Amino acid sequence: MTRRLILAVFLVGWLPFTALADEPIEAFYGVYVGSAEVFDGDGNVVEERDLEIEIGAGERGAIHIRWSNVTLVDGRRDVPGVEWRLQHLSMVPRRGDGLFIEDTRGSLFSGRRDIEVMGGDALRWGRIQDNSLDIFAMGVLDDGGYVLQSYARRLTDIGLEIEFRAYRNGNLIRSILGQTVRVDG
Amino acid sequence: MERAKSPRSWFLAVLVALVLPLGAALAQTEAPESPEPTVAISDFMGNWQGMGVLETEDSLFFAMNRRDLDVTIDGDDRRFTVEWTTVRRSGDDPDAPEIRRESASLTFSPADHPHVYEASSSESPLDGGTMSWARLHGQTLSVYQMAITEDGGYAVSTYDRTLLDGGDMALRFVRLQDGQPVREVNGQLSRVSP
Repeated sequence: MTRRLILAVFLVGWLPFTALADEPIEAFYGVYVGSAEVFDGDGNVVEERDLEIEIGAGERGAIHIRWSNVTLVDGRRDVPGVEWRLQHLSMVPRRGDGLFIEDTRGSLFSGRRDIEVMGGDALRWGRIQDNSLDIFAMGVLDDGGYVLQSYARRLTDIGLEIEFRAYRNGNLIRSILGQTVRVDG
Repeated sequence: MERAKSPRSWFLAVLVALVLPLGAALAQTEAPESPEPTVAISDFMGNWQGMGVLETEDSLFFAMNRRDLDVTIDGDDRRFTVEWTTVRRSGDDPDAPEIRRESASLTFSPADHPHVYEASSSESPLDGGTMSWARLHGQTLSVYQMAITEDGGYAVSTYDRTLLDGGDMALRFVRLQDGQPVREVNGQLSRVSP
């Protein structure tokens, strides 16, 4: 009985640690489709979107994320006014600390380009925390203020949960919440 | 949006794509555009001293939440230094607090855009450093410091120093971590020497 109790205590105590183990990047690889709502800084829904996300291995050890949005008009995507946007980003692991930074190598033979944030470049990096692949972007605006964006893609049983937040000078100006399902790519 | 675009245009395009299409709805909720400065760097010159309070629900009742503030701003519009010292009390005994003195200094030069300044010691957060810059807007000189935290998130510290009509300077310090405020100090300083 005592041994069972010790084992139970051990297991209960151990569970949070096993649950907190970071997922490997390969766990996120796949193609996902879904939908999201866009909120303004006051929490009002201002848009609905269809989403497609593709995460996979890029060239030379990079991870590649490609995502597209279809902004719906009255819930439809077959009427005038619908917008489509495609974005993509390559990131490479930073040595030693599990961070990913934007891959700024132009080609196989060119070196990494320095990021000049004060010159208008965006700073982009990422991490895996528990079951979430988090991508951050930061930029300094022409007036010296700043914008910071975080884009969390969390693994669920069926796909990815999406949470995007954009802050300008510390004020939340936009958030996006959505759900996707993994599909055969 | 193709990757052939420069990073600057990519970032701005994303920003425009994310922020601008919402039109009037967003215009009501977006943080207001920064006003043009009505003061110059030279107006901030001098040594300023005063007191600040760490904002908590019970700030007024605990001396531990008070900070003695000292800031010296020296130079001109082309190159200026902001040097500040914060003295704070900590420990369990209010009658015999541990005194902690923290000082920092940053020297700024103009960046590419008007009223924006970059610190000479600024480093890339991607290399583990702290990025520091400043800007003038309205009657405020804002100093920013941004770094990537150990867990891969981010922290931004903002020091807003605003010249008040009566001649004093208001300080508002906010530290945001992953978008959430983790520390805020508000205070007021008087110029003790030019």
